Amino acid sequence: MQEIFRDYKIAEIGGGVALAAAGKQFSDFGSNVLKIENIDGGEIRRAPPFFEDTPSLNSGGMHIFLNTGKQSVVIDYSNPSGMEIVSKIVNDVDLVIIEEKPDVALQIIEQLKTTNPSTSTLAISPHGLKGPYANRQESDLSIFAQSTRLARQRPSMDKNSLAPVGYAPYTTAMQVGLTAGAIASAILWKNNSNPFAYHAEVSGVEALASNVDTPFVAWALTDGVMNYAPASGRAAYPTGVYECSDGHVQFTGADSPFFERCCIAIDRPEWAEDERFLDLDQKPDHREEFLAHIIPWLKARTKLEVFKIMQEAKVLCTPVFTVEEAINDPQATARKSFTTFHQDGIGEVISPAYPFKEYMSDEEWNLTSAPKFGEHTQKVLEQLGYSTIEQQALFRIGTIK
Amino acid sequence: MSYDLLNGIRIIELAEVWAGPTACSFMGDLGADVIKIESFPRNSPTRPLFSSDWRVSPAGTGPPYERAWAHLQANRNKRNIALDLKTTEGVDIFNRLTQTADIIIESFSAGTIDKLGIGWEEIKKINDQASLISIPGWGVEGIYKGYVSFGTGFDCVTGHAIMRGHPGRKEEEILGSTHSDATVAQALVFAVVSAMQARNKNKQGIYIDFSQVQQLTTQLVSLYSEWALNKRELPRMGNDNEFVVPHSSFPVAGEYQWVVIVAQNDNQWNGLCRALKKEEWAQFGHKWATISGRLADREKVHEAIANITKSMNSNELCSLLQSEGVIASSVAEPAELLASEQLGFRQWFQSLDNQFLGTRIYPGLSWSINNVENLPNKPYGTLGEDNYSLLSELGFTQKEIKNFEKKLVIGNKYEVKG
Repeated sequence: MQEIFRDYKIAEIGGGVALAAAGKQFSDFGSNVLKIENIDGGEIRRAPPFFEDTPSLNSGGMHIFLNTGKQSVVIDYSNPSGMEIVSKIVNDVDLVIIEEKPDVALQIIEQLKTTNPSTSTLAISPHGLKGPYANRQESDLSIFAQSTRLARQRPSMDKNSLAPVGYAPYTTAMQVGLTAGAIASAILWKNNSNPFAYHAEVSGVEALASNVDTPFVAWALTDGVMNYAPASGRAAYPTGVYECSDGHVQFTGADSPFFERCCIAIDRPEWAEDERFLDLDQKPDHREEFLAHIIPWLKARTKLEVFKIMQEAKVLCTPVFTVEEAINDPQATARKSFTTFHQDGIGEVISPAYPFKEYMSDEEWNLTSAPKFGEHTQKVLEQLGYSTIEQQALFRIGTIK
Repeated sequence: MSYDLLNGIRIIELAEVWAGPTACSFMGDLGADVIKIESFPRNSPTRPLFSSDWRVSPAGTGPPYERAWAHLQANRNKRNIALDLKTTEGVDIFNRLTQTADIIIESFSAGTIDKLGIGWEEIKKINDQASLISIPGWGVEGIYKGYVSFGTGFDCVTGHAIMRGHPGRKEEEILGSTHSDATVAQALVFAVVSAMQARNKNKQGIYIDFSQVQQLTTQLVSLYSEWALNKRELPRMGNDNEFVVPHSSFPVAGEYQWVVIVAQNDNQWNGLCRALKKEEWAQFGHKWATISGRLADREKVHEAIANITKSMNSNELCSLLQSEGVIASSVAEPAELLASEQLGFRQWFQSLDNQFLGTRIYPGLSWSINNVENLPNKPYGTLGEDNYSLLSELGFTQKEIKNFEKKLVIGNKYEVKG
């Protein structure tokens, strides 16, 4: 299955994290993905963490994870000599994905429309390439905030001194990249039967705000009344994170039939038929009674014991894991959810494997090293027919690296 | 709004709650013919039966399960058939649908579809060109077969939940996140195209085993690469960033109003200082003029900025900072999203009709294509709205369809409880 997109050639132009995430979907599935990187390397190569905390363009975790199996060509495409190389590279690619400043991206797209009129393009940007906000500086957190997703993460109604708090670094960029990968795959599919040069865009704010995990639809359909899921409402139990003997578990168990199943699992089967708990008007008044039983019940058990008991009862309950625990989870081992690959200069690196596979397939997920900065520049220029004199001249003026 | 990129692909949706239905909605947006099979007579979790349920719009006059935002936000551009798959006739109808399908997406707990008698072994006998994509939380294979959870649980088992939140706060305060629903939905579009590409190569459908937990781990590159490279867990830092100061949310005037401010480099810091009339903070010699000085004084820098912003108007502050090239954004509520000049310029929002709620504003699409025309949406499919037309398409007679209805194999109403 890992070869499904082998017949495609994709070019990435720019240095964004979302761009690399979009391209990785294709390199993971066998496409020839060529990174056309600008002289400064961009955020994907400059973002921490770095191997042994030593920063370099080749040792960053974002780069190593998201650029596996790609080739790297470093070109200053802000000048005509550099842009000429880009247009020659693009001649035989199926799709160009760009993450650059809007004015630069627009210029590249216009140029490609002239020199490569049959090539589809997909531009990733915070707000789209045109419009009053198009040129604003943004970050992962600011895009998250503008999409309304940060507002949804308000700690709780009674903690007004604490700001809404965001997700892990680069989760916004990763989702934007995933969104770009989705439309890119659809364009390639359509082009199988109907070749056409599409010019598509993914805006970060739009990608996030159009998806679930946002309060907009709830707000719009309740005439502005319902901004937040009342996860902390008094009837919403057991919901949220609770302490066990060795850590924590999470429940989404307030609604029927999960609540009734939970009552049986915690040795209170009579509550599963008790109107005091089943009637949503009465349930808030009996919250303390329920918690007085379940809290010591949980503290007498480990999180994995609770997980097993609750899952056998079909209750929505999970342990709260660290990354180390997630990697060592027996289910992850059984499914080979993580894979290792050799990264030049670093050694064996463990990384999440692709999230889907053919059922019962023994296929190992094989990843290959992320390229060094400009590792393939010379090879690609030779393939394009640039003479050694031309290559030296381009290197001399800083157009290639 | 929709496009025709996936035109000609028929997708049968056997999925509930958010991840699967949202994915199928996206594929409806891209032109696929999505047929949603709704649970009947049991309602799905996002179709509440009580009008007082917090997920139900108070507007409109129809049954609560048709006015639930939790359902509507994940179910546009589909046809709808409400079917009891626990009956022999229901399975027969499903099998007829399977004969016409390119893709079947199911989100039952692992193994359930086999128990219903409509699993992969049956599907490939009926239509060897159809692909099945199963998306149970932990995937189909493995020791957690049959385990259940929603997105908030997946967030916890991946290591994401435990690093979210303000430093020093208890784990019990971790907020739920449905990030996996959003990302699984987009990843499923890619999975569907992958299955279609595989069919093109192999001339037969395939069975894809998709794990939502694994999908979320692929999104958490900062966490997993930190572990892979340095054997460390990321610390819980609220909205701070270990390498950037300032990088946080700051209070502004008004009740619980916040602005995100980020200055990633000295230029943005200079702009911030000019905007806040604190040019001295950026002058050479001042400790905060350098990245090292700001990192060392993180809390003091943030406190000093907050002392200025707390009396400022959010919009004015953001405009001022943005004009100086600083990253600044209000922590937008839905009303602000609706008022966004940028989204207005891009004509991003869309109006959709619903029989019970009328025409309402919904978010636009996740993508835009500049050189093709948008196609119109299908109307919102109400429960079982397409029962008759779909079953007729499948070759059932009117008499047979009426009989299915009489025997409650199909239906278009749930029993409302309040």
